[in-house]
Amino acid sequence: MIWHIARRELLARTRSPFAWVVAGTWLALQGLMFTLILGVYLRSSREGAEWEEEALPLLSGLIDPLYSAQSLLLLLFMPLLTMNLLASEQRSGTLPLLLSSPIATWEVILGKWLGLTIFVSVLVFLGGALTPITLIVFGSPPLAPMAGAALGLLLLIGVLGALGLLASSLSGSQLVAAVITWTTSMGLWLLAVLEHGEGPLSSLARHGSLLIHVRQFGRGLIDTGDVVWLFSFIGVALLGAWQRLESWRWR
Amino acid sequence: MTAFIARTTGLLGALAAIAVLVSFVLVPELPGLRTLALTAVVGIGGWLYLDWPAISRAAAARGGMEAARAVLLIAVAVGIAVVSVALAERSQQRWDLTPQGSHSVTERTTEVLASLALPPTEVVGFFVHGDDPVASRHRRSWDALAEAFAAAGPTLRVDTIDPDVSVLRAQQAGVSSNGVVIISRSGRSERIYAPDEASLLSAIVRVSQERDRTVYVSSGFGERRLDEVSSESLSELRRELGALGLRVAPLDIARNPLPDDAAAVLVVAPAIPLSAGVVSKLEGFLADGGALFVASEPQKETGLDTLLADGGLGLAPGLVVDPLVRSVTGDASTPMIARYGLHAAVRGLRAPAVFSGARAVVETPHQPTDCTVHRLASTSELAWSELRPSSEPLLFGEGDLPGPLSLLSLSELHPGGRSGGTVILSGDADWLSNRGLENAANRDLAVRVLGSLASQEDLIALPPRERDEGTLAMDWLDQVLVGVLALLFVPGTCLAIALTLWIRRRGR
Repeated sequence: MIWHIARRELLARTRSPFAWVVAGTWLALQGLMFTLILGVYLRSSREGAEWEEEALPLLSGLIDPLYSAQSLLLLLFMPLLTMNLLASEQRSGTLPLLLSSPIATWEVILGKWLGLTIFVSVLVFLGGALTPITLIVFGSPPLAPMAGAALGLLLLIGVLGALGLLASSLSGSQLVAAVITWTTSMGLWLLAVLEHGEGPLSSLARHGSLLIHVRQFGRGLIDTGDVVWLFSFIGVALLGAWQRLESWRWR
Repeated sequence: MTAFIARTTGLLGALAAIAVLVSFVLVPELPGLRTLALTAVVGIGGWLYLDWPAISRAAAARGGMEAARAVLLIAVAVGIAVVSVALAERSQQRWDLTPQGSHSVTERTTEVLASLALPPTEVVGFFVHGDDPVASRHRRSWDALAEAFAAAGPTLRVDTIDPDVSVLRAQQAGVSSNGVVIISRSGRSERIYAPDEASLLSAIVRVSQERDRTVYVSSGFGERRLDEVSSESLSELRRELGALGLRVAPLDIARNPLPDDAAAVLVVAPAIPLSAGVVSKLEGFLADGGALFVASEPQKETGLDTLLADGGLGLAPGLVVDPLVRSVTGDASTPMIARYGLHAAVRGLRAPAVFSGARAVVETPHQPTDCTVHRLASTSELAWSELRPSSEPLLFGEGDLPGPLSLLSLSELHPGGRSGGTVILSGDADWLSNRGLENAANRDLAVRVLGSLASQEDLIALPPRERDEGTLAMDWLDQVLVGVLALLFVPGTCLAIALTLWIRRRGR
């Protein structure tokens, strides 16, 4: 049943002009960032060669900055794709219909989250496929760190999707849902600015910031602490959304 | 009104309870944790007491118990998540996917760190986190090194401080420049600059040993003195090296043997050439892996020409003149360092240092095969070595040596393929004096070079890492092609799909 709902969600996305407009804008910005970062990397490499300096590492000079840019774009655009996951069903009055069906609430939640995650992942990895293709055709990139970066993006999509689903369950307004997702994710992201300070605030930032838990993937490092943090976040957010939908049944 | 106050109190209590839970597991050092816990108890208790009629009504109403169950379930889930994260962080597993293992230390380092006993060794790196790309690169390298050491060393406490943010802590530690790492254990401490795995590991091992390291400054041949308070003496240099954890002492090498605790020997501006006996002792010291620093006055002979030539080093005749400096100060005989080498001893240095009346350090025409010479600091291309420095106007002429010229070179000796000593030669000694250290970045250069030299003796050798970090080569046409695909084709396809879907919908 979960797969059925996910498929329905996926089909709904692919048939929505709005989703494709968001995707097109997203990919245009992604392409712009890719072109700029690539240009900066190639120029730095040329200048470094003139000064007989060590070659700029591909991982820290190109792959990591691209990963950071991609993460930021996800942060900006995911709320636009998640805002109507449940909010539109609440607004149009189809939610009671969905809940009165024999489908379990958790199946609805997991199905919707899975469908969105697949849609965004396909978009990011197909649309962004130009990056690995360029690196493989014109150079010899380290493949394992690239796979690590892909895993990091996948987990970030999962986290933002779960957060968006929770926000969408909290409000009947798509705009409010998008704002909740955006401010929460941005707040968790920007918590990292406290990292370089001193004392408990810095410690709190290291434990609580979304950025700190996803950035190591782009540098070719997978840490169990980060993976558990991200999965825990997904679990708690999905649980929250499930409980919120359950409360509709009681009414 | 009472209900509003009760619910606000309850909300504050709930928030305080969440903060207590998260802090207790993740940030136990948070000050005021007890006050926060008390706030949680009082807040929730106050809500229960003041709003009890409404609570009991809600619980009895349809869905009341379900709501309570939901809140409890989410609280339990958050608790499980926080505990899971804390456990995962405490028994951390890391997979380093980089080909050269950038985020990991070598097996040798892991073995050495695992063998270190308690008490813990404190490692504190002072690195700026800013927009400057070079500083940012150093910070990233340090972060990776610090994380790798922290993961590998059970008795290490690794911390990073931004001296721009934590100004007081930097001042208390006496840190005035970026890229300093202080290693301390049981009251012993040492500091290193621009650390890499080998230098950091060696420093950790050194502070763990109950052994003093001493830098001996040669005396008895009219060299610069350590104990005088004059502009020409080396008392300030002694103070700076002391801050690195090094003891600095004079030594009459002609009358005394070189002690076992000699981390390095400095020969600074002897007025007369060193005797054959002293030279022989220094040769033996180098053969045993010792570290020697020679700073010569331009018009004086050191008597170390043969020893230096064995390391592939020599001094050019004439004086270095630098038109770049003359255009600013009017004095061409104070050459400025325009560029530093890639050797670890000067890695990361950027600010120029200024020498005074220096001879250029050259590599001997017939380079010995059992040594490797590194240029540490060089002039710009505009400088040259002038054979007739008193002539006017100063022009590059026949017999002069064109720039860039090395003012400071290092030779690593490896006789018969085994690791040997290290020699550094400078064609000027004034830059190390009390007056010279005040000029430009001379102090930084002296501390870095001599600190690094004194660490050479017991530097733990680590296997070199493969530098397989990937390559990328594109010409401008490739770049344009990729740019067109990324900027126009891929997003254009999405927008075309959106347009098609929209037209179809309108057609229905």
